[in-house]
Parts: sequence; structure tokens; C-alpha cells
Amino acid sequence: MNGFASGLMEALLRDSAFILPQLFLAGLGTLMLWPGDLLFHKGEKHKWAPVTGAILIVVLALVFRTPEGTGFSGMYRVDGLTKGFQILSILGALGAVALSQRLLNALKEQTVEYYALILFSLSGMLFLCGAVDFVSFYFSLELMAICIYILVAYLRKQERGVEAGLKYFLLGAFSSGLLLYGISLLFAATGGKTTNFAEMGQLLPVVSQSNTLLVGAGVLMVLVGLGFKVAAVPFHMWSPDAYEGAPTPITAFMATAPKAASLAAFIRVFQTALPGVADQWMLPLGYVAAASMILGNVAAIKQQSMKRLLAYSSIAHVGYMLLGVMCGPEGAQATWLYMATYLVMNFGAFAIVIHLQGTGEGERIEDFRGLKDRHPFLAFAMMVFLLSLAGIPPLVGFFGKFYLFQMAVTQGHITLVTIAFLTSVVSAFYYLGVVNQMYFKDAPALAEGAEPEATGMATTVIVTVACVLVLLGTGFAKPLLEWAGGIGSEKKASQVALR
Amino acid sequence: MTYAWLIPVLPLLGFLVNLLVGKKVGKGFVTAVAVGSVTLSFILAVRLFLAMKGADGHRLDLAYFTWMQTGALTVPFGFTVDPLSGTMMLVITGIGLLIHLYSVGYMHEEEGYYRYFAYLNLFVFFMLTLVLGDSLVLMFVGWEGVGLCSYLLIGYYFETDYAPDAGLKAFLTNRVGDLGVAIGMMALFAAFGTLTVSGILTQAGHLAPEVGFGFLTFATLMLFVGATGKSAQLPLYLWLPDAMAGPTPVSALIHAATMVTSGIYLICRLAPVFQLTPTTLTVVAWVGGLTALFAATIGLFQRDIKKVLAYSTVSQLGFMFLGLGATGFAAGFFHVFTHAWFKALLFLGAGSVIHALHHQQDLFKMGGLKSKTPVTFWTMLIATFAIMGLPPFSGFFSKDEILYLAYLKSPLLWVIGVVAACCTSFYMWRLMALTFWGEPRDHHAYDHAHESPKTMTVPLMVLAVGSALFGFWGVPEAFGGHFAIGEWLKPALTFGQLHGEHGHHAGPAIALAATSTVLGVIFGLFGWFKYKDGLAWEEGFIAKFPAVHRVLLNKYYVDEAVELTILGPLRWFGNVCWKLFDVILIDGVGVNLPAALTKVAGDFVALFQTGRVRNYVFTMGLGVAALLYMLLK
Repeated sequence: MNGFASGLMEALLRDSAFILPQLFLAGLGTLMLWPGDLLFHKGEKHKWAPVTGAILIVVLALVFRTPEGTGFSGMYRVDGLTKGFQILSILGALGAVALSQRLLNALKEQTVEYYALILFSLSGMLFLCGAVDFVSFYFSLELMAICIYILVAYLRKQERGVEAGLKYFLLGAFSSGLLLYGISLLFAATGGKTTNFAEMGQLLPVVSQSNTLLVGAGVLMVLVGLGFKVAAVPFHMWSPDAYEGAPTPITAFMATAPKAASLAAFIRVFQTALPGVADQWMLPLGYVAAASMILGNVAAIKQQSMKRLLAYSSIAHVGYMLLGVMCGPEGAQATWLYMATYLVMNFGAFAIVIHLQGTGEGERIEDFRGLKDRHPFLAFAMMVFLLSLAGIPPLVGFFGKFYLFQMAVTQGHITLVTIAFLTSVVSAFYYLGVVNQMYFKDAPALAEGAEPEATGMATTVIVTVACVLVLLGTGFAKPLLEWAGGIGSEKKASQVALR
Repeated sequence: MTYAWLIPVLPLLGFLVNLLVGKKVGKGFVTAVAVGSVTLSFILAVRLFLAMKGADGHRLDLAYFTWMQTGALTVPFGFTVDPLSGTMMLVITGIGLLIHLYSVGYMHEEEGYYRYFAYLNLFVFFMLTLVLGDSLVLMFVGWEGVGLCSYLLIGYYFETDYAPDAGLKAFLTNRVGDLGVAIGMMALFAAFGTLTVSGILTQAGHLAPEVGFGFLTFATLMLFVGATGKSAQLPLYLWLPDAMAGPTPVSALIHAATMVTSGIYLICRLAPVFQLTPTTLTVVAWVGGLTALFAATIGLFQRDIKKVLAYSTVSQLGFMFLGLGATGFAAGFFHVFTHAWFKALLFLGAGSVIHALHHQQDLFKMGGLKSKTPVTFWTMLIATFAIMGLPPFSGFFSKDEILYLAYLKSPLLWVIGVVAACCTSFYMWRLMALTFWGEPRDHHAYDHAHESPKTMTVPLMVLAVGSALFGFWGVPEAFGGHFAIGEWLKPALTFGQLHGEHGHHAGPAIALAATSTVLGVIFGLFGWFKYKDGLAWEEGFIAKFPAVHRVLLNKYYVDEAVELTILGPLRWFGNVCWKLFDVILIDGVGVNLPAALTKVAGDFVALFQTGRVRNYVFTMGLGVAALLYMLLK
């Protein structure tokens, strides 16, 4: 007995090296709530933003240093895929924290819980990126999601935020139910033997031959659950509402960090656990991807609110990234690259929306009228971000699309790539609409003597960095691809090891 | 050749400097940066051109670094200078420089002076990237970049209602074309496994021409779709006439001399691949020929001086495609070259007239300017001779070569071309007569008219020399020359392979040239006689054939048809998607959002009662059902 306990202890200590970033996040997050909360007085809560930022930077460094390998009885794995998407999630959180300070100050809504929740949620994402077992996968997913439900409803005095949070929660619970149901079906299909992705990957193709419906239904339910998390059509309904209702930094956060983690999970589930039954999910996933591209881009045309526009645009971008999920191991790096470029341009755009919101100019598209006169730099940067989102070369958005589409063509997804191309043409329609407002429409008259408010430090830094990256990122295509190549090849290595 | 990268980068720096500090510093500084950067770039371009001419095989490959590299895909970042790109590079920097100089005078009163020059420099940068790029990816970067600059410059007069819309229209129409380029690129990658131009062309040399409709035909057709977008051919020409909302020098540089010819350039660049696909070439020839005719007829009765020139550009671009389609790649490019000079000159001349009359663009309000603006008159006269194809002006040689090749392809194409050329002569002489001859129809404007400043007239004169003389670069064999430009371009267009290009038989060449020239002169004279004394003839024509006139004036109602059949339904569809998901399903059951929000304030029960979440779940359930159905069927 004693031997078992010490053996367990030893294994835990050994494996904890893999999850050091998560331990760090969860530990400091807890300490922040108490006694950390006593550190700053009521009026000084905004100082939590730089503290959280510092924690995130340390976590980023820890992720780079984490050893690669599998631990916790094959439940958690660190490899190129894990690290690649973990980095994106952390960057997403970092951006959200940087943008939060000013806005929350203006609303007098600074509390330590806000920042702690971001940390907890992030730890869930980091787990999710490395989850290689349906049990750890599900726990990570819920840890991530539950914190976000609260964050969406964080501005509790604003009705639409509370409503959005509740809606998101209810629908999330529903989708979790479906996901769990799907997992249990797959578990049953293995004869109750395993929930491990790799082992399932070997068992399922065999079972599938005799019991197609059981496996197929399980696969579909998992697809629905994951589709909900990344807001793919037709499981996207929550996202425009949640995006609009949430505090805008949280909107930016939701559009990037959890999406990156969920995509990592998407890739793992479909490429490790379910590649053998690809004929069961390839077609449905293709339909989901196509529907996301079409509906996301078309519905965005009519939007009046910038946040809703970006929500629909995000749905569309998810559609493109699902195309990468369908492309096997090489698709993983294309997806990662796309997500990385999307993260940069998305944060740039949100930083500007948040700035305008903070100065009371609001978030409606018509509030962008004549921005070039009030904030020449912001207008220029916004144009760069929007054009990049539309995939215009030589901006990074084009590079991400080009690489992803090219990958999909070599894998034979011609119809989907054609739809992707067509819808990206449509997307230019609404992105350019905003540019038109900024550059070719007159600004509403400022009050007498009023000066446009200067941009804060965080906004300036984020917008500048993002703008430079979007403009010049394509120039670094080669080193980026080499780095991202690690994501695909690690994946291959892991598959080889399993055989 | 280490300086070669400076050629595009200098204008880029000019753009950055002017964008960042242009608003604060004076116009003198902006001018110095903008014009200076293009001048330096032009000087370096000449040096590079001469270096290329001296190089082995007239070709310089300047590889800088590997841009992208993974698995099957390797994309280098580098420039190729050969006779084709070299000539184009000189045209861009040379005519670009003249137009920068001209703009100094034309735009001197504008508040957005710095913005204008910044965009113009950016355009030169992207255009050079497009031309010099050694891979389709880099060319595509330039291709989209020039589209962006075009959009920004068309919308330059944003105080007007129509300019921003025209810019948007140009950009979106081009996106449709770009879709073709992107698909064509992917297809070529699938076929050849590389995206470098030299890689594709080397492999293409080993293939036999494709009969009927094969994969390469698909690829080249897609590229041609892109070319129709950028080069304003049927059916994607709609944006170009509207693009005239931009400042006139922009129309001259972007929408006449350079950007709009990039579709032709793209096809010339990949000429050996297009040689393999006769089906595509036939399509190119017919689309080109029909566009030439179609646009020329619309140009007959336009009242806006720039609109006439815009349709004329569409029509001339059609001629170029007609040449390409008749496998006369050199002939098509020759016309690009001569057209760049005389059409830029026509636009700048029109700009000079507009400038003199204080932004009057209506031909019906001009008249009698011959003595008031002599330099503009004489230079535009030379350009008119060139465009109508009067020997020995430049347009004669290039157009004649195209018509001759069109005749060899199909006599019907020749007839179409000649009719279009007759229309060209007519509308050009109508334009000239209405502008410079007769009585002034707006006395106030006429009295204040004056010749433009030197910075505007000198470029006109330089362009006039080019318009008059550059045709001698391609005197066909039938006229005792040896079509020097064809020889010059040969290494670039055939890439070492020797199939294609027709051997010249002098047989019908002289007879054909004589027929088309004489017809052109007759129609030109007709136009001049009818209009030199005023509007009487046109009024008579309207009275006699009101329907014909109305249809032509309204451009065959194509814009309206597009609105009705494409844009309207698209907006409707967007509306439906939005309504279906946001309004009906979300706000559901007759509860609108604000009312619902008020009701649910803190009252969660009320939230459930609106039924909205239920509707969400319903949609998700539908989705699950649909996927399950897919599984079961």
C-alpha cells in the first residue's frame, strides 16, 4: 500500500513537469483571489492588469521550456501541436488583459476576479491543447468554458451582457450534454475498454465495420460538441450574441484563445482518435466548414455593429480553419498558421474598437466615419487589419489563406476550396464597407474645441505591433513555416510512435 | 545588379515618408520625395535594362531569398528582368515619372496633395512588383496591391457621392477576377508542382498542345478570367468607366497606361502555357474582339470627355487581347506599349482641358479651345492620329499587326476589329472637334481658359514624341521592316521553345492595312465634319434614332442589369440570412430585441419565456438531425 502511494507520488512529481505552466497559472490565480486581493486598495484594482500580464509572460516562457512527452497515464501529451496552440492561447489572453485595463477603469468595474478568471480559463485551454484522452479532454473543455460563461456576463449591470452570458451557458450545457453522449457512445464502441485517443484510433476502425451506427453517432455528437466550441455553423447561434454582450476585451479573447485551444482539440480528436473512421466525419465536417464560410460571410454583410460583424467574420474564419483540420497532419500546421495570423489581425482590430468604445464613440460601424481625420494612424491600421482579414496580399491574412488553401488543394478538397475562395470574395464586401466609412465618409462634427482622445499605451503598442506584423509578416514566411513545421512533424512522430 | 531591389523599394519609401509626415510638411517636400523617388527609380531601371540587354540571353534572374518553403511548395523571392518585364519596367517608371510631374501642376490646389502622392508612389511600387516578380505568388501580391491603390485613388475625391462607390465597385469587380487568378494559380501548381514562372515555363516547353478542354485549358481560362477583371474586358469591364471618378492623372497612369494592361502582361508572361491551350486562345481572341467593338460603340455618344476615353481604353484593351488570342503575343504587347504612350497622352490632354476649364468635363460645354490651349491641342492631335491608326504614327503599326493576325485567325474577327477601329476614329474626332473646333458653348469658362503650366505641358510633349515615333520599333515585314519588337521579345515569350508564332506572308497584309486605314480615315473625317461646327448633327441623329442613342448613351443598360440580377439578389440573400438567424430565430416569436431586453432585466424567468434560447437549441437540434441524416442515408 505504502509502495503504491509512493509510486503514485513519484509519478505525479515526474509528470508535473509537463503541466508546470498550468500549475503556475492555477496556483497564482488562486493566490490572487486571496490573499492577493488585499494587495491593492479598492481604487487600485486596475493594477491587477500588469500583474496578470507579467504572470502570462512567465507562463509563455514556461511553455517554451516544458519538456516534450506523455504523462498522467497517457492522458496528457506535450508536443509541437500542444505548444504551438498553447502559445496562441496565451497570446490571446495577454492581449485581452492588456486591452482590459482602460475599459474596465472607465466602467469602474475593476476586480481581481476578472483577471483570475482569465487565468483559470487559460489553464483549461492549456490542458485542452495537450489532452489526448477523452476524460482529460472533457475536463479541460469545461474548465475553459465555465470561466468564460462568467466572463461574458462580467458586466453584471449591463443587461445584454448578463443575457448573453446566460444564453451562452445554457447552450453550452446543451452542447456539453451532446458531447458527453458522443464520448460515451464511442467509449461503448470500444467495448468500454478505453477513452485514450490513440487506443481508440486503433479500435474504432475495427468496430466501425460491424457497428457503423454506434460509431457514426458517437463521432457526430463529438463533432457537434466541438463545433459548438469553435462556433461553426449550425452550432454558432450563441456567438454573435455572446460577442456583442461580452465586455469587448473578452470578445477579443473569445475569438482567439479558446478557439485556438478548441482547434488543437479538434485536430487531436479527429486526427488521432478518429482518423480510421474518416469516412464517417469527413463529409459532415466538410458541410459544417462550408456552411460556416457561407453563412458567416454572407450574414456579416448586413451588420451594423462592429462586434457582430467581427463575430460573423470569426465564424467564417473558423470555416476556413476547419478546412485545415480536414487535411491531416500537414493540415495541422496550416491551421496553426491561419490561427496565428487571425489572432494578430483580430487583436489589432479589436484594440481599435475598444479604443473607440472607451472614448464613447461606440461600436457601430457608422461610428468609424471619417476615422482617418481623427486618428490617421488607427484608421490606417484598421484598414490594414480589415484587408488582411479579407485575405489581400501581401498581408499575413493572405499568406495564411494561401497556404491553407494550397494545402487543401493538394489533399483534393477542390469543392471546399472553391467555396472558400468565393466566400472570401464576398468577405471583401463588408470589410471594404468599413474602410469606406473610415476613408471616404465625413466624420460627425466634433463638439467645439473637443480633441479626439489620445490612444493609451496598451492600445498603441498592440495596434503598432499587430500592424507591423500584418504588414511584414509575409516576409518571414520561411522561418514561420519552419517553426510551424514542428507542429506537423511532431504529430507525425507521435503517430509513428503509436503504431 | 545589387541595386535592382531599390527600383521598387524607392517608391515604397516615398509612400511611407509622405504618408507619415506629408501632412505636416509643405507641398515642396512632398513633391521632392514623391517625384524624386520615382526619378531615381527610373534612372536605376534604365541601368538595369541596359545590364539586361548586355546579359547572356537577355535575361537576369535576381534571387533574393527563399520566401516560403515546406514540403511540396517552394516559393523564392526574386525578380526576373527580361525583354518583357524590362520593357514594362521602363514604361512604368518612365510614364510614371511623367505623370508624377504632371500631377504636380494638376493637383497643386488639392488639400490631400500628400495623400495623393503617397498612393501614387505605392502604386508604382506594387506595379513594379507585379511586373518583376519571378513567381506567380509575388506577381499576385503586386496584382492585388495595384488593385488596392486603384481603389484608394478612385475614391480620392471622397466628398463626392459617387467616387467612393466607384472605388468600391472597382475593387469588388476585381476581386471576382482575382478569384480566377487564384484558382488558375492553384491549378498551375497542381499541374507543374511549382509557382515560379521559369519553372512553369520550362516544363510547359516539354508538353504538346492540348486538344479540346483539358486541365491546362481550365487553368489558363481561369487566369484569363482574372485578366478580364484587371484589364476590364467583357463581362467584368464595368468598373473602368466608373473609375474615371478619380483624378485625371490617375486615369492616365493606372487606368490607361499600366495597371489595366497587367492582364495582358500576365498572359504574355505565361505565353508558352497559353500556346498549349488553343481553346483558351480562341476564347481570348473572341472576348477581346467583342469587347473592342462593344466598348467602341458605347464610346460613340458619351458626353463626358473622360468617359469617352475610358470606353476607348476598354476597347483598345480588347484589341490587345484580340492580338494575344491570335497567338500574336508580341503584337498584343506591342499595342500595350504604344497604347501606354498615346492613351496616357490623351488622358493628360483631357486633364489639361479640364484644368483649363475649371473642372468642366462635359464635351457639350467645350469648344473652340484650339487657340487657347495650343500645346494641349497639338499634342492631343498627335495622339489622335496614333489611336486612329494613321501611318506612320505608333498606333498604326501595332493595330495593323493585330488586325493582320486576327485575319489569319478568322476573317470575321478582322471585320469586328475594323468596325471597332472605325468607331474609334469617329469618336476620337468627335471628341477633338467638340473640344477644340467650333464656337465655345460655355463662354464664361472659355474666357477664363488658359494653357496649363509647364510642369503639365512638358510631359504632354514628351508623350507626344513617344506616340509619334515608337511605332517604328515594330515595322512589320510587309512594310519593309522586320518587326524588331517581336525579335526583341522572343526569348521572353517563347522561353527557348519555338512553336507558335506565325511566319509572315506579305500577301494580303498590305491590302488589309490599306483597307482598315482608309476606312479609319473616312470615319475620322466624317466625325470631324459633323462636329466641327457644333452639336447640330448629333441633335439630328437623336431626333431620328432616339432608341439607338439612348441605348448607347446608357451603355446598353448593363449596369442596371447587373444590379437587378446579381447585386440585388446578393443583398437580398444577405438580408435573408441575417433575418433568418438573427431576427426570426433569435428575436423569435414577435419579440423584438429592445423590448425583450427591458423585460428580462434581472428576471431570468422572463428570459426563458421569450423562447429565444429554445430557438437556438432548436437550430442546433436541426443541425444534429441533418448530420445524422447524412450518416444514415
